[in-house]
Amino acid sequence: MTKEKSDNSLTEKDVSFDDLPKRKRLLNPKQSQKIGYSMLLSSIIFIVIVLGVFLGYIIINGLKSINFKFIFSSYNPTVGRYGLFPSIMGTFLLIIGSIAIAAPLGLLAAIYLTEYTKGGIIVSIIDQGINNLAGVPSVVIGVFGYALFSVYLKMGSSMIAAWLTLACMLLPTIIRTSQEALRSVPRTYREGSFALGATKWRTIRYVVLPPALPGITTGIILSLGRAAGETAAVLFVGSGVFFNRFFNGFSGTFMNLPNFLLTLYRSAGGWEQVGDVMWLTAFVLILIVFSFNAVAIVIRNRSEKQRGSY
Amino acid sequence: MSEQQQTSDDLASDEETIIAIGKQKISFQHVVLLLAASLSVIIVVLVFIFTVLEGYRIIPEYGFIDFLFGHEWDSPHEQYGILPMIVGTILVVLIAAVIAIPVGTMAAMYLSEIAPEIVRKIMKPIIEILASIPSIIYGFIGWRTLVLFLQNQLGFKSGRTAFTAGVVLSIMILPTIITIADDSLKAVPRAYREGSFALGATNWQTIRKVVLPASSSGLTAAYILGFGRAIGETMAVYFLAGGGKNLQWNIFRGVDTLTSLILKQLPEASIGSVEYHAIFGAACVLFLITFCVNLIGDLLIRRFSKKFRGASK
Repeated sequence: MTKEKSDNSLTEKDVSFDDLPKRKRLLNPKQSQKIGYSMLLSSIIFIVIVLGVFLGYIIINGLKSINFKFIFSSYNPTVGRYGLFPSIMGTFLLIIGSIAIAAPLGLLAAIYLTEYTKGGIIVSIIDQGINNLAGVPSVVIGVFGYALFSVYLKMGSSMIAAWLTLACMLLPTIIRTSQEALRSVPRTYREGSFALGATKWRTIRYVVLPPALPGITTGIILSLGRAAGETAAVLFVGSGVFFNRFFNGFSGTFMNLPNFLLTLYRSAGGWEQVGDVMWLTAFVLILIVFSFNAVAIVIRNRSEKQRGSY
Repeated sequence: MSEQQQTSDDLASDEETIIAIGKQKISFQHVVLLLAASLSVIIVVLVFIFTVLEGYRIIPEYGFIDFLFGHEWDSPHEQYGILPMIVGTILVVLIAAVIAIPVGTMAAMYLSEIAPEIVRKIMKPIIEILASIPSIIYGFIGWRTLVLFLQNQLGFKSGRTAFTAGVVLSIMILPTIITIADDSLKAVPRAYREGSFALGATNWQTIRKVVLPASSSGLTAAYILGFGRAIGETMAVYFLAGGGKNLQWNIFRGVDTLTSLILKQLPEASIGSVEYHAIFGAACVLFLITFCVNLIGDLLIRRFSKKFRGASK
């Protein structure tokens, strides 16, 4: 780009090029390229500014309202106690449980799709099914989980129903990231193993999975972050509010950070009373989500560096 | 890509002979893996079945036309028309599209065509962060900034409008649009660009007149999948769109979308009531809309990736 900018002689040559379409130009190609480039660049700057404002706003206000008494106490608005701890705990239990269900199933599905199939109609149906499941709105997943787990299977409003519902939602992400990780293992690894007489399953278990592990872990951690922020999918199946306690058991309702934010938003107390707690909740939630993302990015970069030596 | 496919196919056919030797065990694993892989399809089918199973009853109870085209949802008066919510969804998505399509396309053009390596490296995590922010946080921040701005600075009676929700939604769907658009721009073979350069075109002319048209179906897919995301977005809309269950087209008034309707009404409806069935009917409609939108987007992507398969990079 800088090279082209330096030679101005091009503009004169361009006149003959210009005649071709028999149309007058307002700008010569050089100028329009400049304008075009700056338009494109401005869109990028716009995105960065929006993100900066977003994060800056939440971090500044979150830090301003940080209050350890809030973080480590239980919740009871009637005595003015707006503790975050039940929500933090509930969030972690929720995401760990749902990942424990979704990760093995997703990994097996990814192994099937990358290692066992030769294409064909069944695989393309499965492929499309994964894409469509990823596209189902989270509120519809929530309604479905409510109808199937809470009502039809009589699990009621419980942590277990929420695990299963959330697992349905996380499955596509885990399958896709695991598939990508498995695909990135060089073909020669498998061929070497087959040449030594190893069976398919042994090859997968001892040769393909180990180098794919960082990629698979990245996907799982990213899903944890996504699960932590999910509101609508678990709202009907067990995400609730209770006073003076930290935990209601696995077959009872649980609190989680997004729903806590929602509850405060709906609460009669109004902004003056709960504004600080809301900022703090949003801040802690963002912090959790970003920590997961940061860990995932670090793992990915490290494994990418290692891959360079293949 | 296609080359890799070929060889892994060869590997699989090599494996067939091994399967014949140790048949019992390997076929068992195969079945387990196939079941795990089919789970996604099973869940999608179950989502459809369960929403239909509870939702279809609204047709005999309330009437198909009245449900789909009724101008009002009013639980106390037992009015359950979802047309206002469909219109609300359309308004919000259109506003999001008007902003996100140009910004997303331009950002993708910049990243794939002219950005130096360092900018790409910085922007990739930024876009990932944008995608990873939970939608309720978008709603919350949108409320504290945009809604209050409209109310305090511009004198709106309520800052919760279709417009507000659309603006915030546009930011939320940017990552989807940018990622897919970026991929499709990059898929255009180098020969196309070189041909254009050889005719004396500048880089900008090449991008506009050669690369953009060549990747148009990929870009369309990016927009459509962005729409799909916007249609299903719940929490941000709940925080920002206000609410309005009567039919109206004004973007500066509150609206409800299909998603926010479900979120608001389901906890209040008693199981088995007409409203309960109407909500499941709405969920069914929402599922079908997003299903079709995503299907069209995927088909476009598939067609697009076939287009340049033969071309050398």
